[in-house]
Amino acid sequence: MEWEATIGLEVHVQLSTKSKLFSGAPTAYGAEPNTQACFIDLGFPGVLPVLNRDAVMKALKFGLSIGAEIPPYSVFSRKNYFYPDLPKGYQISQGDHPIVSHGVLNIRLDNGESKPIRITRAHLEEDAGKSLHEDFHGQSGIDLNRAGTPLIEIVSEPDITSSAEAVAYLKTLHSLVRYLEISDGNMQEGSFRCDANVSVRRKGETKLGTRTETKNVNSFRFVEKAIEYEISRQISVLESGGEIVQETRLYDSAKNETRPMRSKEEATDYRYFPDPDLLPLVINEKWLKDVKETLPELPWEKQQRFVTELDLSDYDANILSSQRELANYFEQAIKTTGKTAAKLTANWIIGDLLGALNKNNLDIARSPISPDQLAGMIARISDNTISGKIAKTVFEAMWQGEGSADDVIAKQGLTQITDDSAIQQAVDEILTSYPTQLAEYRAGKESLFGFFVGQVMKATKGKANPQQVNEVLKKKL
Amino acid sequence: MIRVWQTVIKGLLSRSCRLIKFPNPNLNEEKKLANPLITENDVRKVAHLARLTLNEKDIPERTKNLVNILDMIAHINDRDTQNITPMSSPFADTELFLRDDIVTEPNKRDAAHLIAPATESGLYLVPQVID
Amino acid sequence: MSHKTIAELSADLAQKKCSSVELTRYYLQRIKTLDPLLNSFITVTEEKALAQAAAADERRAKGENMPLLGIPIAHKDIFCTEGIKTTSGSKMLDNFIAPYDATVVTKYKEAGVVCLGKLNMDEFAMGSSNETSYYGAVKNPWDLTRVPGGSSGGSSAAMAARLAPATTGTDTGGSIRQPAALCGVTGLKPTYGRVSRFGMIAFASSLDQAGMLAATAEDCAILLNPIAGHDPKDSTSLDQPVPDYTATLNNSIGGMTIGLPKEYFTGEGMDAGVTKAVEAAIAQFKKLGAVFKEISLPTTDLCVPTYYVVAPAECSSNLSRFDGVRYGYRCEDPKNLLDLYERSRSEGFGEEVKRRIIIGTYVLSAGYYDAFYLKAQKIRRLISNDFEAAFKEVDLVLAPTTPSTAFKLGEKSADPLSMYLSDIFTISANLAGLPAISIPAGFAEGLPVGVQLLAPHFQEAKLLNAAHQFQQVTDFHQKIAPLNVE
Repeated sequence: MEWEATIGLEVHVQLSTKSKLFSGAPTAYGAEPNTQACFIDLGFPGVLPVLNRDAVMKALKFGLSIGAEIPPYSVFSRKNYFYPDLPKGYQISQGDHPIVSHGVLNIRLDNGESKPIRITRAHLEEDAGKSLHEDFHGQSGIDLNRAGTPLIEIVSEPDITSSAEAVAYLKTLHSLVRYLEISDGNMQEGSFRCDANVSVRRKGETKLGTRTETKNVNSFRFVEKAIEYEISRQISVLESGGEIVQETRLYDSAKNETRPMRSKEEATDYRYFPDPDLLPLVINEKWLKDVKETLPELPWEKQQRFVTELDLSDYDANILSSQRELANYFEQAIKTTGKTAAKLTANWIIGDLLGALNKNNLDIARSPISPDQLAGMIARISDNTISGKIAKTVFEAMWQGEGSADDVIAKQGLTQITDDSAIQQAVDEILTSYPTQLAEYRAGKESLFGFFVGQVMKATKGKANPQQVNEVLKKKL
Repeated sequence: MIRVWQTVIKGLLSRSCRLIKFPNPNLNEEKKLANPLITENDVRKVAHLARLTLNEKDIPERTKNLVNILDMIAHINDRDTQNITPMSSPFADTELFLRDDIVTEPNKRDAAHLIAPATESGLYLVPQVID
Repeated sequence: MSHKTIAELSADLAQKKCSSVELTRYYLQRIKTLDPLLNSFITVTEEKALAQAAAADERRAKGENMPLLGIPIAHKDIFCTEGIKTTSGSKMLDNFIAPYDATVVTKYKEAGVVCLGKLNMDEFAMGSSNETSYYGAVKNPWDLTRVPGGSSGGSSAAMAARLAPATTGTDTGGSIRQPAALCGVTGLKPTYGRVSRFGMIAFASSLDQAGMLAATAEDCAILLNPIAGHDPKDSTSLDQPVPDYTATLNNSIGGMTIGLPKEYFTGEGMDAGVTKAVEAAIAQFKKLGAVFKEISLPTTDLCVPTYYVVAPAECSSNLSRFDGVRYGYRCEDPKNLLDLYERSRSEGFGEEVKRRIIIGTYVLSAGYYDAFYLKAQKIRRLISNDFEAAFKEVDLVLAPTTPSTAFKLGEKSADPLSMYLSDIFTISANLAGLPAISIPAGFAEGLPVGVQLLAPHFQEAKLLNAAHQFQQVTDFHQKIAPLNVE
């Protein structure tokens, strides 16, 4: 039996505002418990919410970046339920009238093709606090610092059909919110969280299967694993004649499994209604125009430009534009090297630099080699001061903190030998040192050409310009 | 049921309230509401949603009470409201006031915890929360 | 001294005929002597009051001369007062010392007002008789066997007995005007959004409005001046110009048109005494040059049903925060989380509050939302449209405040529906967000009768002008309940 999966994702993105969505309390992560929860966040009697303008701007930025519809007004509603991390007994969210609706995010599949994922809506809402389960004499502790932090919840249509697509979608979205500077996207700190709605059906079936919602998947890898687990769990339930229960499940990364959430066992009736403490939020044309002007170049626009303007391959352009910091690094570097060296620069970043960063578990922002340093090295390759091979030595030295490319080259005497007579002299010496091989070569064993190149390079400690060595050898042989 | 309602109201309307003339009931067929409007079971369910416990022995009386009130309320369905925009607030057409993104609230945990029923290590305590 | 209005007391203070400390002592003494009969105060803040009075006197000595500087008043216990118990009339908040002031309280502090204490009220402002208070019923100073009205029943009783020269109140469905009428004082409910709701414990957010009860319309104007206006802490407080409400009090009302909604004057169900007093008030306004005109508010019959959807719906959500976790009442030894919620709430809330939470939860719940909540919002629009049309023809609308005079304690408390229906004349102003004032208009069998004026949004000045002119030619507002202590 062939099965297919249908996946819809709900992503909660914390907006990087200084203060909360409806109060003037700070949003910084990691403060002492309950020191960043003011009386409004704590749901004290008589206090009222006042909306943060910057949070609205950030939501609009997101909406405009995915070509979404921004309705002229949106409405804040109360979602009513009791939970200790929800101080007011309701969450201020948006129901029927979200601030953003009907956008599209194109994701790039492994085969290089692009697939549009429709975004149903994105709405503004406040985050809840946290329940800490460490044992306080059989009780839980409640920290409400996070309560009231602005979120946009981004809901996709069920256009995603595999865990790989889900990850591609999330990475694209993650990259986008960082480009837009609307969120720090820090997944460990919970700034970017994902719930996955998963259902399976037999191939050819038109009706969607019953779906489950898996919560608490807070890394790309866990999303992938949780979805894979859920797909295979659902298939095996169905294949053994069972039924899928529509329920909320929790992903347990330690056990790599999902299990039903006990607290969500009863179907809740949230009784949404417009929050009478807040009037409808009206978005006028002028506001939209202003926000539009603040939009940065978006990842897919950058990717296009890298291909058309800088002649990068589609693949390289995609990698370099996939993260805002990486793109910035690249663009900073080619400011110095110039467009003509863009390809070479791209190769060094994607190959050696990302390789080294990966190996050392560093992100680009913490690269020991600055874009200017890298550019300095590229410039010496371009002007033939060093060869590509020597450049690896320079790169290594820069990584170790030995200064600029020029410093390294000077200190280690790595300048390439381009003086024709010097190279001729080196070639002559090698030819005299290896008469046997010379005879064999001349007798027709042309494969020995590489041997001579190697010997010359070795004799010059790799500093001879390899092209010139080739030319001179060809002449002399 | 409407007739019942009218009798109920008539009985309930004290000398002070007789001046309200309720319209002739003409409940729209497709909007016909359940009869009675609320049952004892509904009352239990709603009370649970609202996290209230009701004394079992009071439930019949309470339900009767609520039926009376809801019958009075249900009269809003007598009026045609096609093409009428719901009004959630007197000034729902006014532009919403927005605040600048500035931190204005200092830490007042001590003041807040001074009047809290149970705290420890800066946290509010509640019976074990189960995910 | 107790017969004096704020306008007069303010003049006395300015002319150094008395000090704020003397004034404050005088009212504290009255409270001590008379309130045991009325139960209108939940908390008396004697020490703080005297300190504030002394500070006010110092400011006066330095030459400051704001009209309210040194005037003592008392706040309904729905307004949060920093460092002072704020209960909203509920066991749920019996131990709640508010850590902040409501904006109304702040503004009065800034104006130099002295706070005498906190006034009794129906629990969470839900009630029309002040019998739902955890702190016991309040008695009507005109007849101690009768209710003072509600929910601002402590405010109206204290005012009627002149335990303070003015009191604050809140009005969600008539909670200022109805008790003002039943106690023979003047009560103003400003336009929705005219006065900040910040720090005012919410009942129904789209209906709640802060206002005051005082001896005269002039005093209401003096008291409205410092609190009217936009508050950056309340998104629903509107940024509209604030006039000096005292400036237009003496304008002639000759030629002013006043509408009489025919739906309010069918004669049926009204006390004869109330009808008579209202008719006399109309005649008085005519003498002042006002022109009366019959108007129609065709959705009047649905005001009560609509209100009893909107108000409970909002209250069911507003009162969810009282969960025994962060403040307020918490049950003993909760077995688990559900038990903590259910017992804290069931033990902390009184009957009427629970009833409204259940109604509100029900009308918002899946399957009933459209037929109740949404439908009520549409009817609310119709009610508002009725007034909008009416105000194209008239400047003000006149109506009785209540269909009857103060009823007996216990008379309606067992029958919530009849209690609800007694709000019929006051509810529409809240649904439409209109300003309205109740002024003393006579007596029926020794009990006060109120008449109500309603105005278009933000036309408080016009209301106060008409009411003030009426009070220039009548003396009902000068009558004080004949309370005697043996």
